[in-house]
Amino acid sequence: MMALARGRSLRTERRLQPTDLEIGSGSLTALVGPNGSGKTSLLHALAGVPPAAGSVEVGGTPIHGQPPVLRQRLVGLLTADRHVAWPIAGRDLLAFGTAQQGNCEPVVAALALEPLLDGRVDRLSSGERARLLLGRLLASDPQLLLLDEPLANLDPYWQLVVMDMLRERVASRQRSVVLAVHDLTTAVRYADRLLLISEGAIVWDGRPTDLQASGEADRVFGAEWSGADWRLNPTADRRSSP
Amino acid sequence: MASSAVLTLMLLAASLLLPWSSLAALWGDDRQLAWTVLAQLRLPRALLALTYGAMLGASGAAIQALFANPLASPDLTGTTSGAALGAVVSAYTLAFASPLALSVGAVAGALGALVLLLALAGPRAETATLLLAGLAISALAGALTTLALALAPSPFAFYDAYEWLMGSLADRSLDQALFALIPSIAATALLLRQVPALDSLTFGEDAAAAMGHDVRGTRLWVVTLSAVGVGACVAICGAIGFIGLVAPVFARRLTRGHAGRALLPAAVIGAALLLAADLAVRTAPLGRTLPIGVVTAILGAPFFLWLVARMRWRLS
Repeated sequence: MMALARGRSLRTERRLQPTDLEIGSGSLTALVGPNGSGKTSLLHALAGVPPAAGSVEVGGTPIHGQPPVLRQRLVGLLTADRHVAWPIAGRDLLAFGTAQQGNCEPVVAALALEPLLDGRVDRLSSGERARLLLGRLLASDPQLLLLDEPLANLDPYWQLVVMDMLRERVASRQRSVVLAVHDLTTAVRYADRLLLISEGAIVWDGRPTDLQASGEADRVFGAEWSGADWRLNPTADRRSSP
Repeated sequence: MASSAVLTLMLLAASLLLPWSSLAALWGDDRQLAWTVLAQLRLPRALLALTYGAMLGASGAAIQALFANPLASPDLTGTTSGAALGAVVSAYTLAFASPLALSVGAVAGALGALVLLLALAGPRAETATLLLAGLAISALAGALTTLALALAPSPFAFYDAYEWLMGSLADRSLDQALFALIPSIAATALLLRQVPALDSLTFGEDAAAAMGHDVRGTRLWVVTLSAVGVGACVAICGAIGFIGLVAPVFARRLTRGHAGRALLPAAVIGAALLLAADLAVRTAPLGRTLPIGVVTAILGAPFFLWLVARMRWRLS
């Protein structure tokens, strides 16, 4: 598989230890790990968001120093914070920063955004706003999509729709998706590659189906992973560790 | 946008030419006197209203977009009080009263207030934190201004400064006006370059940074340019409140809620508001002129209360 993105010595002062990473073209990568392990920091580092440091290239082009229009064609980040500060219209949110208006229509249809377009975003539910923000990112169609908990606030129907859309982008357009998820079941079901993060470092990198056999998930999370479900492990309870 | 620009131009014309009898006088027997009045009294006054209003509107819009908060403005964040303190210290404590020294003092004061605000409240301050920090800075600057005046060697310091601090556009020469005009126009023009970054802050700082905007740089530019522009205006005309709060609110109605691109409309609306307030001050049949800062505060403070109340309704 060809590398689409290369991150070198990605790091933040508090969370993320220096990390080198290659993301394959046309792949869906899931970041999993306990709370505070550095999933968001790694995503932000890949998106070039301060205070993260390091260099990132997408398709051979460094993202740092690119003007916003070009940068947004290379990389797009959905932050975990879905707050929209000003009461703009759904239509304006969807088209924000998107150079080509035409790209919006398939996304509007796929995510059923039509009824959300004319209202103000501050009057939408958090799930509706999440769909709009995701729609904006998909409409701008960056080569590398970085999504922090893209399924948060979405009901099961939209979770399935969104994951299918992401898989379709990966398969038919050779886009690359990296998503941070806390739900290992989703990660195993949809991802081509799984990165397990613990204490700011990637401790396991491989095919999702191999994770259970490695025993790494049990060690990192302090709970037993059966490959489909979790059970508390009394001998490795995180509450008892210092 | 176009209609507010036309309104501003009409107000500018009215400000220069009212009362209408003065228009006739320009071609009457005493035309030399009439032209002198126009060029030396009305023109500087109208230009000051135009630029000060525009500067307050633009910096109000930029500060609101930066803090992602509709209740931020140069006066509520303590910028104008900081500028007033800087100018008073320059004039009465250090005895440098030239327009240039006043401007430098006021810009330094405004910059100090904004930097203190960022340090106290942080870049993404909650409304309450932002307003409390702004209130504290305003109170501190106000107290220090009074102290500086009380300790001033001149026995007339209080009286002199009182009239000026209340805000007035009257009796400024064209030379003085230029000291406000040039920094304001430069600051407004440079603020306009920050519009895309300010717009993207709608999605939060991290998202804006991921879109390729230099968020720290934007913050630095907005704070510095607001301090320079507003400080220079305060040095010449004293503190005029609430225009920087009100103008961006109307401007965002023209930009469908977008905070960054509301900057230019806010400048136009701010100019119109201050021109209108000055016309009201000049033509009100009260027998004497009111300080313009008092008029904008009397009209602006209820508007501010209405904004606060509206935010409360939304939250509940």
